[in-house]
Amino acid sequence: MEKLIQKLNSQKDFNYKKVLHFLRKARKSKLRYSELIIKYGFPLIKNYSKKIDKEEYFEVLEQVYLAGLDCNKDASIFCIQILKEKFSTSLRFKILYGMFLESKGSFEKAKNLYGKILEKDSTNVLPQKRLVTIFKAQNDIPNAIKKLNQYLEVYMLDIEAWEELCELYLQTESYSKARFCLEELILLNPNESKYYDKCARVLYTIGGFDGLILARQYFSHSIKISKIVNPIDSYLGLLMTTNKIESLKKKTNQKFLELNNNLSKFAKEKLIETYQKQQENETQKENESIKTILDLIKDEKK
Amino acid sequence: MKLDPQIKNWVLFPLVYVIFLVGILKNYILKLFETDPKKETKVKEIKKYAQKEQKKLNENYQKRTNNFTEQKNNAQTNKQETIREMQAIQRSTRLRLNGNLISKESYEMRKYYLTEPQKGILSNRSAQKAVNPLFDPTSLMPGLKSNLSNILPQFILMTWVNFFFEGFIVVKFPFPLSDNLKKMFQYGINLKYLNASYVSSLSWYFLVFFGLRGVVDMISVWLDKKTVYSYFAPIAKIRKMPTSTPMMPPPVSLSGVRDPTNFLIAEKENLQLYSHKFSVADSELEILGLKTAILDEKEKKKDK
Repeated sequence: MEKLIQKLNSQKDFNYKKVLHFLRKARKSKLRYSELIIKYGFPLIKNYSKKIDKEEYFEVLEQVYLAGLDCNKDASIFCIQILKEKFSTSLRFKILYGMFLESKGSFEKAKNLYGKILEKDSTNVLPQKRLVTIFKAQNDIPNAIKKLNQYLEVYMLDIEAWEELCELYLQTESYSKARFCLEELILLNPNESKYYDKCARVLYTIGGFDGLILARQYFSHSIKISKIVNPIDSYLGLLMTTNKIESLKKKTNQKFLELNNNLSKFAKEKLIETYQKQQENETQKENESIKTILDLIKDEKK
Repeated sequence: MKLDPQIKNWVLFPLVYVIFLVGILKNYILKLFETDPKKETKVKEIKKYAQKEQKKLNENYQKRTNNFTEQKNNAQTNKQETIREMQAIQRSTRLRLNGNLISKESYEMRKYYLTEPQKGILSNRSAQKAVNPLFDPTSLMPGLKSNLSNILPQFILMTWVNFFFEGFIVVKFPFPLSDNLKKMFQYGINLKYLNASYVSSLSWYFLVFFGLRGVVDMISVWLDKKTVYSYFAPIAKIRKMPTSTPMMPPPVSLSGVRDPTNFLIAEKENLQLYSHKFSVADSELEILGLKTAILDEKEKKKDK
């Protein structure tokens, strides 16, 4: 994908086939290169519309339109007008139009639109999600949470929605609920290390002796299955948790303390190692900041 | 043995002619039947209207008693409910597969949520929702009709042939045939030593009936391009069914899983049998490169 972007950026003339290829890939991978899509897709639609296959043309239109909502209003208006002529009655268009209303800031109109769609078919997923985003955009987080909970009551396998709910709970600082969402995410996607890491963070924030131990375990697990060679975040988390456990000074057996110390040492060593490696590669300026970090880590030894 | 030429004139060709005509007539009759569903839907609409009225009355009554429950679209809520159940089953399997990755209490909480005696999704399943569409009598009607219209003329023709031309030998094939085909070609005649290439009237009827089907279909299509009634008619009708019977249950229950109830019960049992063991704790030892947890436990036993 990055190679493709480089190729696109390096081309001198407008090569519509390459652009189409890029757009196709972006659609498939569901990545949000809004600015790039506008930069290349918008002129494509304007000037080369007859050269594109009809079915794909509308897909590209939708894609450029959605990107336009992000960063270029003219493009989105241009696209929605073409789409309106063709599909003014279709459901997909209605949702797209609702998003247009949202971007303009007329949330009530959008809400009405989605409400009408849901009245006809309450099992439609998209308008339900859009309603949540409206509440979020209006900064009405309690309602967004409520709506999202209603949605998850039925569609309980939706990873995206659980992630969103977790973020919302974190915003409102209800950590135990966020923890529930993260556990749900772990169940749904057990190979993703970031969920364990995040869950550990939340557990650390909640605190309590048992919680801290759980956090330590989750940090370790995140390190174990992480695809990155040295996940600095998780190491740092592990170090902090172990130190905190030590500072609580609960009466426990020898073995437990030993394990805690070992983990603490392990995390510290790994951190120092990775930062030292980085020190060798980085420029002068960043070198200083890394030095301070290293000092901080070493200070924790005490 | 020679066949009387009168038989040719009065039995052989009339039979072909009549079967052909009846075949075409049948298509027109079927066309008449086709208009029937519309009438039926009208009746249904009236019934629906009556039901709606009654519902309104009921709702008003409920409003008065402050027990107003929103039941706008029963079908929709049903659909949503089935989606919810399917998702719950999957969630439960996930819980069984990956449950070791979350702590004991979190696991128990989810398990309770799913299998709770009254409210839990896996145990809450009323029998009325699991109406199997195959046993729904209204959905059988169109198929039955087309079957009836196929069988009835056939039956009448057969009795006619059997009554008037019983025991007639109608045609002789100009080539010899093996005796095994006697049953097929000499239906209604019990002569042991008759050559198999002679054909009885009833067998001739069957031969012509099945042979002419394609021709009849082609001609009836040519006569009216809109009525494409071939012998695929029953299938075509079944395909049309969902549109002609709007009260059909949602396709979710049709495709894939016929009856979710069994799945729900099975999944509930599976979940209850599953024993939880928190496995994340082992990774602490693993990242340190220490022995695995199993060895650790063995050591503990030795210590004891």
